[in-house]
Amino acid sequence: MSNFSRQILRFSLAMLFLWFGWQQLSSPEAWVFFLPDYVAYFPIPGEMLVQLNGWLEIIAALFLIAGVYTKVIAGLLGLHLLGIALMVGGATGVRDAVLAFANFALAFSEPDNWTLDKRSKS
Amino acid sequence: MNILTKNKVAIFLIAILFAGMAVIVYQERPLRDVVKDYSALGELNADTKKGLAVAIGNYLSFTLDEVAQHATADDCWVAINSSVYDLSSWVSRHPGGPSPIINICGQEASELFNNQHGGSNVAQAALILLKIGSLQE
Repeated sequence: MSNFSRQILRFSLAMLFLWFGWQQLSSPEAWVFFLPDYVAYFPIPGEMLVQLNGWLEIIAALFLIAGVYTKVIAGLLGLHLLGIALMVGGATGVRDAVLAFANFALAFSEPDNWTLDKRSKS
Repeated sequence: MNILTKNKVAIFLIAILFAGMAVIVYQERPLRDVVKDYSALGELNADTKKGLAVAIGNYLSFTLDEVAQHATADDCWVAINSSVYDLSSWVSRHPGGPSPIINICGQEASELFNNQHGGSNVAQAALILLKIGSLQE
């Protein structure tokens, strides 16, 4: 994969997580329906859980933008999305699974020239 | 640029992560007036009801008379220790079978619950997201 392709992939995924993270943070009540049943055993409100997940995705997106530990973050986000895909299922699940594999593609490629990962080596 | 810079950025972002999480956990949650009357949710499906209950459950309150109007297996509310729970979805999942739940639908069942599950954290945890509000004294 070319350097430019990796840059596009990294920033696109970062925008994806920034957008959905912000949506979860600002309107958690719209996302609480997607929570699985086992959340019933958690001692925190569903809205709070959605907001925490949204915030986590925003920070992970900032890691991707800065290009810090890109492979690790992309891999974790891929697993995160794969888990959501399996949980949600249906058309949304297929979409999330494809996005998860896009994360894995980023995780398995070398960091592009604009990442701090790459610059810290040079 | 050396690896120290990269780690500084990582530490900075992790610090922001934890600070934000603290704000989310400790923020004051405003009273929602989306639904004051749970019966208005009658046309919604079970998942939507569950979601709304999760979102607003801590802010609603009901009288014992209102609880008593939901006394069937399909529409089962129970008051336990000053909280009101919608156990409709729990009837078929109760480890002890559906009968003990069906028998208390529409009632105040604190004594029964405390005698049976008083020391069980698992039972307490199972109730948490079934909560739809508090009981008006």
